[in-house]
Amino acid sequence: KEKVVGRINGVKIAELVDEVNKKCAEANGVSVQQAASASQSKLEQDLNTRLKDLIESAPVMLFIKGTAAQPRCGFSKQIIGLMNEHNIKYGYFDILKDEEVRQGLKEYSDWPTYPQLYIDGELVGGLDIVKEMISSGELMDMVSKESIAA
Amino acid sequence: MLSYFGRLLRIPQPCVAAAGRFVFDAPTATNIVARRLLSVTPSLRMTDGEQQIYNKLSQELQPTKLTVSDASGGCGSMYVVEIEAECFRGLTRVKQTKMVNNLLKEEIKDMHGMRVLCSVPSEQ
Repeated sequence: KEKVVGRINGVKIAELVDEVNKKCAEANGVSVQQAASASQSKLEQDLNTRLKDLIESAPVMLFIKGTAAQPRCGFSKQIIGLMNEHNIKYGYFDILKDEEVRQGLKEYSDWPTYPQLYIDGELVGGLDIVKEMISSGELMDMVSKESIAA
Repeated sequence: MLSYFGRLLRIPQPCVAAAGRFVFDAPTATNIVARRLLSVTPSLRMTDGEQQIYNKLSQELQPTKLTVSDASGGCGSMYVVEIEAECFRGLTRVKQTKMVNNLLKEEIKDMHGMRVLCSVPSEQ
């Protein structure tokens, strides 16, 4: 059955597009920010554990600049768009809110840029790689059925 | 039309001297054509930054195809590298990209970002 999830009065195309993107992001994306900041620790040993836990906190895990509803970088925005477009459910972490994770993850994974996509704890790549894997069909093969939104 | 020729005449001497053969007194038919070519042909030479990256990757990876472009308008802050090489065969995309990243560790320090697009030559 259909359900009204929002309303834009008047012909405001830009607002409509933003609102639709936000709703998709809210439906598909789960922030893992709070769990992470609750257990902050400065020891490097704990940082690696923390990063590992973060990476494994969702089967499909995105590290982006900004939130899924409001990404703060064009590349992060595109990767969110691709997830939403293919109805993939994901967890996400806003690296702008945590400098320790932002720098630590680059070293941990030996990957210099964001956004970063992990599937089942393994680094899949950034936007360029994800785009290629979507057009080759490889990405959808990697994503388990549970991660596809109905 | 007149303003176009005026712009041609203002090409600075050093850039022309590099080309060698052109004399820049009065605009004769020959050197007008030459200068027109100089001014409208996009630069076929790479920037120093592009060349450095190109040389390193050529040497280390023996690519079958390679283009390096400065996507920051010559500022050296953003590069796009497209590389096709046999040594990538069988490796995950992440591993392929890391091979390139590791070779360019020093150069990356001065960059804001770099996009690396790896591929494998089609089997003949």
